[in-house]
Amino acid sequence: MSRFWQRSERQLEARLRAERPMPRPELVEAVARRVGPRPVLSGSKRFAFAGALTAAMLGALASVGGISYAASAARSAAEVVKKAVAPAGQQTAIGVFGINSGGDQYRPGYGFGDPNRNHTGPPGLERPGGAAAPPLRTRRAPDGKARLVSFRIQLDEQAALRIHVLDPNGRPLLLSQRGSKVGAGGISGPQTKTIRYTVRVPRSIPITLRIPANLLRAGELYQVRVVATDPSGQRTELLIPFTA
Amino acid sequence: MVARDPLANPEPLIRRVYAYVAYRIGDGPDAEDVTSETFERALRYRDSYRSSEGEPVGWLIGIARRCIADAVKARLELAEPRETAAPGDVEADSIRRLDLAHTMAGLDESDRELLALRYGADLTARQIGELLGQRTNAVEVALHRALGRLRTELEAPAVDPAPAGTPLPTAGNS
Repeated sequence: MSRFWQRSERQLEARLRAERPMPRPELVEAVARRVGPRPVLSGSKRFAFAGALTAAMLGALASVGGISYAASAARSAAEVVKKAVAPAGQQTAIGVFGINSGGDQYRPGYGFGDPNRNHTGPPGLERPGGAAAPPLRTRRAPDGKARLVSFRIQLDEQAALRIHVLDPNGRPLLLSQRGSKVGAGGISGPQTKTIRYTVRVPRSIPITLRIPANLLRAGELYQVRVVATDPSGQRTELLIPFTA
Repeated sequence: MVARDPLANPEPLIRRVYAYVAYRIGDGPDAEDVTSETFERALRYRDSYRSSEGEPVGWLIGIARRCIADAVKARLELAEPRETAAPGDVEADSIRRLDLAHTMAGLDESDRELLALRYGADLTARQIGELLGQRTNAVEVALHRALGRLRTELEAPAVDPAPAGTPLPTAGNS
């Protein structure tokens, strides 16, 4: 009997390991990219990526071989530094303009535009399930005066978000900020056609939008439009269909 | 002396952390959220890691445990309705009943924690003991009991999801 239970337990252990939940490759890639190599050491000194670095320091950085990072990691580090020091000619002054609706709380090391929290290229912005995800459906708000639509987005760098809801003709609808949520908390402000939110911590973000019920027609197809603009001014747009 | 970087070679660490989190709170967007937050915090405290305190995975799992606690607290405060799948058919629901992850979700929190640490994060009993402040022997006994309870739940007969004669809603009929 004891051998039976031992065998049974080993089988269950094997099953627990074999059926271990696996993360999506996109998540692994996004998190690994965000982690990046540790700021390179030179002798006993530590480089800081924030702030301006001269071209001479960029060369020294690339030539450091005493740290056990692949050459590609050094190249990525150089690209990050290049992004920080070279003012982008087409850069739009983003600042932290997007906090009139809401934004991530400021934390040390998470200032908007921190090169350690951003990458070259436009922001990676996607919805779990991607283009194959089924259209969302709205649900009735508790007070009966509005409909709510909830979804998540995955963002891989800091960005200022602008969120709209478009009717079947592509016109933006008025949204209620009170009762809408972005991230962990609610947002505030008067009704608006554009909800703004500043993301300082790249991550998967839950969003709920409250839409006055009289603006929606049952069965019609609407779209949530999310535009993410990173600190260098590069933009990515995401369209998420839903039915009322 | 150069301090060891706990986040060197992050991919395997990401998978182990995700598996642990998903065994704790379920596979999906919430687990992704917590995993991302874990590594964000790890980045912040990267330089404070000391090899003498244990392997990087143990350090990361400690961070993940706190992230899970914060996420659960936030979820309770918001009471945000979760996106649910469309209603399925009887066969799919029966299969799901036997699904390991689904059964794990029905276990006691402490059992789920132990199983997640052992089979999600792949920690040894000694590492689990260090993390939870318990002796290795006690962890091994608790793991054995948790496995027993999991096996009991898996072997329990499935309950019919609906009484006979009641039509199940299908997608498009609402």
